[in-house]
Amino acid sequence: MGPVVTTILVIVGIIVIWSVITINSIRRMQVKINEAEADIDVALNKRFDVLTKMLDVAKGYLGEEKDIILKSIQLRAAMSLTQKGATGAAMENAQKQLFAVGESYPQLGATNQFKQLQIAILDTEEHLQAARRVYNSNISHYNQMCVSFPKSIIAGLIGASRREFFKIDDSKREDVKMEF
Amino acid sequence: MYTDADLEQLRKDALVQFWIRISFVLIIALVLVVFSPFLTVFVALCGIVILAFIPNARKKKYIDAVKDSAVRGEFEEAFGSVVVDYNRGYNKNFISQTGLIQMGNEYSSDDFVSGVCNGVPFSRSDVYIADTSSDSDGNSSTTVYFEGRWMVFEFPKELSGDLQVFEKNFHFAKKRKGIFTKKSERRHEIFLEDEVFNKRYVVMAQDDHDAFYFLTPHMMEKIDRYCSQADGRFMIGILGNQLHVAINNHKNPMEPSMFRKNDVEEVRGEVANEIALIRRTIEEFNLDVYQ
Repeated sequence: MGPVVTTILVIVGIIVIWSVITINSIRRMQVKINEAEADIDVALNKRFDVLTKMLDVAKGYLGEEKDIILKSIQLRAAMSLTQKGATGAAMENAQKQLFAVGESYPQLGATNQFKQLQIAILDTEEHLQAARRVYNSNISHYNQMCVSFPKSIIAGLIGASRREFFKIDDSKREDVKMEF
Repeated sequence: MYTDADLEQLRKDALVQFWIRISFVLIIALVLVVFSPFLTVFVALCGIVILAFIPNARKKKYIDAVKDSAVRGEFEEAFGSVVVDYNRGYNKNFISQTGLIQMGNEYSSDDFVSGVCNGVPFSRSDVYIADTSSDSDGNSSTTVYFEGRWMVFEFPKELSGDLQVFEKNFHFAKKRKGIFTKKSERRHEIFLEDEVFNKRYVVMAQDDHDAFYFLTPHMMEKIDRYCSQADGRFMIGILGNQLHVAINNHKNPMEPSMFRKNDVEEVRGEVANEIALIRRTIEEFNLDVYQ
């Protein structure tokens, strides 16, 4: 085998190994993104559970409002990112309403159960923010892979394309303030 | 309780004992150099042994008196009931099992204090970790991995795995990554959205979610502020329900020197700094939020 053929074989070998590594890293990133999205679902579910518990505790003070709030925060199967974002915002509103009810009726706000649920809901909010940030961080790395040359060639060949970020309101970038 | 005059008297006594020992060794050495030069080396060695290994009882008495007066008193005044033990520190295994720092082959820890501040249980201790090795020519060298304060606080939140944050110039942090680390203990590096933070700190975690959960943008700012005010290189670790804060400043702050007059005031100042730091840590990391 001449030196030219050997050189060509070495170059091809390097390209093949690099391609396999790149494909694996793209696939791994896709798995991480899916896991991060599942984390968002888990956080939304937890938040929904705590909110429904809070609605039960405050039902005597809410009247018909309880059903309206409950309807607005319902989670559905296979929601898109935008729908998840909208549901998250609805939960945020529900949370504000419930906290306002707690302030308007001190006898409710002073109960241990209501206070515990307030702490729990703020904790789920922090978890939801963390899940969103993990998702966006993974998306950022993944999108960089998809657009940066020469990885973009491999990404194009295996059909990997840029994915959308989970939008976070600026107000959500702040820490949750706990005031009781 | 000792008055300042008592402490000064104890310091003088310790100093006198120190000079008596030095003079004793020098006189014997001088006599032997004159009458028997061959024994000089032997006597020099004996002198070193006497000076280095036979404890100076008065010095210990002076140090304990200063610590009783300045350390215990100040901590009790700040936090009420506290456990203070100058001769004890964190067990080597305790620090080793955190997996936060390389351990070397020399370890010592003293000036242990534990108590409760704003409802948050805490403890602190001075820690010294070094590695001494000899080359083939018999020259030994010591690399100090850590010398400074180590604090442990009860952490109010639950994380699913370990989380570690340290300054990039904190050289002997243990990262617990790589194939030689057990998979259940392995951490990986996390890059957050804040490029400035990423440039200054290394974040290692077992779970990405934990890192993003604890290190909110607001917390990153707080850590940066806390770090810039710390008098040394800084590392934190969250392990189970404990927050470990290690500040490597190559100092043993609560150790009085018998060679300096009024050193007790300096020790009091150091203790006041320690107390302020404990309070600030609890406040900055929101450790008392559920109390």
